[in-house]
Amino acid sequence: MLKSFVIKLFIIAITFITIYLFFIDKLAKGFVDTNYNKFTQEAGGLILGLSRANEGISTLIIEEELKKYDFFSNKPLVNFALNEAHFGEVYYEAIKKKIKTNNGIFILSISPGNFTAPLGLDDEKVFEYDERLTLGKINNFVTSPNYNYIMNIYGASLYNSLHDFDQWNHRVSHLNGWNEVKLESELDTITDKDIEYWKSLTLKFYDQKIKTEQISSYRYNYFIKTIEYLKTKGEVFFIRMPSDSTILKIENSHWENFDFEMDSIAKSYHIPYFNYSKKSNNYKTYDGSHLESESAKKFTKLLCEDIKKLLTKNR
Amino acid sequence: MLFNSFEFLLFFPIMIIGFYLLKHKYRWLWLLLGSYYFYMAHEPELLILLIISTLVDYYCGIKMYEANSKPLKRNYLIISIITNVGILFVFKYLLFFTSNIQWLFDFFGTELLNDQEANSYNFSNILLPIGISFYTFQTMSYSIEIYRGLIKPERHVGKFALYVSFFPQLVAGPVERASRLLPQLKENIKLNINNLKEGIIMMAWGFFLKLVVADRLGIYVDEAFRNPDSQHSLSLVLGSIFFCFQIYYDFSAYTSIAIGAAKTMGYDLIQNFNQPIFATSVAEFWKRWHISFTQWLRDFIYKPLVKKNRTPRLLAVFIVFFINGLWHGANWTFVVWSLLNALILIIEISTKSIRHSIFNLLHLPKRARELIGWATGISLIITTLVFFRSPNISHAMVYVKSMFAFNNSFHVNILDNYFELLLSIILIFVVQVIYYYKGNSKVYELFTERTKWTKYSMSLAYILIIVLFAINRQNSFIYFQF
Repeated sequence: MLKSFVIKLFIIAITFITIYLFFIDKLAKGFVDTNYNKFTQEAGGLILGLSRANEGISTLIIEEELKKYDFFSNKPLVNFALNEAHFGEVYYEAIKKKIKTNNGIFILSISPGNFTAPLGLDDEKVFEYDERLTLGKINNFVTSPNYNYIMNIYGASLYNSLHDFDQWNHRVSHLNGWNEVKLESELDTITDKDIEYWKSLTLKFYDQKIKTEQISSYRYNYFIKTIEYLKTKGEVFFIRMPSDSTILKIENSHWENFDFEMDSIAKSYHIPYFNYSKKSNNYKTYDGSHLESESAKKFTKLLCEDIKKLLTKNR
Repeated sequence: MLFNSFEFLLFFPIMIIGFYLLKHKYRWLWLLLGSYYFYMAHEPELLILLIISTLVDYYCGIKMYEANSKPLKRNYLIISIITNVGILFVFKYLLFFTSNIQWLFDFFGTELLNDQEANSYNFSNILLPIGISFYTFQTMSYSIEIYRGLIKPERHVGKFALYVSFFPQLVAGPVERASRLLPQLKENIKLNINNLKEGIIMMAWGFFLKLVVADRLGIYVDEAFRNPDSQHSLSLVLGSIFFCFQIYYDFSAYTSIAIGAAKTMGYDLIQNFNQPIFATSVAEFWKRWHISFTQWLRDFIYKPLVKKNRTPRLLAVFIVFFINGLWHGANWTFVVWSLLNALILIIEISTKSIRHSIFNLLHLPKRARELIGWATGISLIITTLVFFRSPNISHAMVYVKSMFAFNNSFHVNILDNYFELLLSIILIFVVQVIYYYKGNSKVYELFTERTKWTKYSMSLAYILIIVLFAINRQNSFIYFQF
C-alpha cells in the first residue's frame, strides 16, 4: 500500500514538473514581459540607467548610425537600462556577466535617481534591497530562452503562454531591450490631457520619493567601480536625458551640484558628458519623465551625432 | 523558510522520510533539528531568541511546579512573562515606542534628543524575528497553565524545545497549547497512509489557496492601496473586499499547510478558522477567526480581567482588542483596526435587545435577520480592514474617503483586466462554496470520497490549475510579519 502511494506521488511530481516546463518553454517562445528581451543575449555594447534610458534611447538607431565604427560586429547593442537598475554591486555584477566584448560602447544615462536608496539603510542593507529586485534574483543574463528569468521574475500566471499577450497597446518591446512608447496606437491616442494627468502622478511619485530616499555613498562608489570596469571594455559616455523641467528641478534639489560633480568625474576619467537636460523643451514626454517614441528617436539621433563628432575628432 | 519555496519542497519530504525511518526515541531530535534549520533559513542569528524563550520557560515551568508557595510560583511566572514580553518589546516594539515618545516631545516643542544623540539610538536596524509573536505567546500559555495547575511541566528539555519550535506551526501558528501538542509529540506514531493522504491533500489545498487565489487577489489589493486617491471608488471598494478575502485565504492557506504537514506525521493541530466569512455578526466573526489566538486572549487576558480583577466587561473588551491590535504589529493602524472592531462589538452587544425588538416588530424570519446581520457585519469588517492594510492612519483615511467619494476618474483603474477580475471573483465563489459544504477542516474529503478515476482526473486538474493559474511569485504569507 505504501509502495503504491509513493509511486503515485512520484508520478504526480513528474507530471507536474513536465507540465510546468512545457508551459515555461511555451511562454519563452512568445511575449514574456517588457524587460525579458534585455536578458536574452550577450552584449557588444550597453545602454545603462533607469527607466528614462529604457524608453528614451533606441538601440536600433544607434546600431544603424554607428555601424561604421565596428562596435557591434559580433554582438548587439542592448538597452540594459531598467527601472530598478540603480548603481550597486548587483547591477555591477550583472553588467560584467552581460558584456562580451573589449571594444564596446557604453552609454550611461545618469541623474540623481541612479544614486538613491531608501532612507536609513547602510551599505549592506542597500545591497540586500537590490538583491530582492529583478537583477538580484537571477544569475543568467544572456541566454535565449532564459528560463532562469521566467522562473524567478515572471510575475503573472503561465496561462498567458496560451494566448498573444496584450501588453499596453502603446508600448513596443524591441528585441534588444528598447521599450518604445508611441502616442498613437491602433486603438487610441494618448492625449495632452492624459499626459497632464500622468505628469501629475509622476510629480506625486517624485514628491514621495524625495521624502523616503536619500543619495547613497554606496551607489556612488559602485558608480565609480562600474565606470572603471567599463573603461576596460570600450568607449564610455555619460548622458543626462531630457525630461520635464519641473521634474528636473525636483531631481536637482535632491543633489544640487549634480551636473558639476558628474562633469568633474567625467573629466577625471576622460569620459565625455553630454548633458541634454537643458534642452528638455525640444522633446516630448508622455508622463513628464519618459520620452515618447518620436522624441526618443529624435533624441537618439542627436546623441549619435554628438558621439560621432567626438569619435571623429579623437580618431 | 517559506512553505511556498523550492527549499521547502526539498526540506519537507526529507523530514517526513527521516521521521518514519527513525526509531521513536530519536524522532524528537530529528524534528527539533529540522525545526531549527527551518527557522534559521530566514535569519540564523535570531534562533538565539527562540532558544532563550524556550530555556527560560522550561526552567520556570519546573520551578513553578516545584515551588511550595504561591508568591514563589508567581515570581517564576513573572520571570517567564517578562522574558517573553521583553523579547517582544525589544525586537518588535522598541522602534515604535521610541518614535512615539520622540513624537510626543516634538509635539510639545521639547527636544528630547539632538540629531547626533538620536542617531546613536537608532533602532531601525533591529530585525523583526519571524514568528516572534506566535512562539512567545505559545510559551507564555505553557507557563500560565502550569501556574494555574492545569498542566504539569515537561521534564525533557528537547521535547519541550520541540513544542516551542515545531516547524509546521512555528512562524504563523496555530498557537498551540502544551496540553494539546506536547502529549502528541511524545506518542509513538506508526506510519499511516490515511494520515499521509489527508496531510498532503490539506497541504495541496493550502498551496492552491495561496498561489492561485490569495496572491492573485493581492495584485489588485496592492494596486488599490498604492494610490487610493487616484483610483475610482468602485476600484477601492473592490480592493478592500479583495483584501478581506486575501488575508483570509492567505492565513487559511498557511494554516492548511501547517495542519497538513503536521498530519503527515500523525499530529493534529488546532483548526484556526471556522468559516468566518459566513459569520452573522462581528462577535461571531471573532469567534471564527484565528481561533487559537482569540482563545488565547479569552483565556489569558479577558477572563482574568473580568473574573479576577472585576474589570467592567466593556473595558475588558477594549483592553483585549488593544492587545490584539498591538500583537499584529508595531503600528497604530493595527491598533485602530482592532479598537474599531471592539467599538462595533460593544455597539452590537448593547443594541442587541433593541434590534430584536425591531426585528420582532417587522416579523422578520430568522434567515432574514441572519442575512442582515451578515451583510452589516461583513461590511464593517471589510471597512475596518482598510486600516489593517494601510501603511499609516492618514493613508487609511484617504482610502476610506476616496472609497465613498464616487468620483469619475477612470485614469488608473484596477478594473481594467476583465479576465483576471472575473477569474478572481469566480475563485472566491468556488472557495466559499467548498468551505460552505466542507468547512475549513474537512476540505480533504473533497478528494478522499471519490472513485479511483475521479481522483486521477482531479489530480491532473489540480496540477493544471496550479501550473497555469498560480501567480509566479514567492510572496511570503501575510502573517509571517507578525
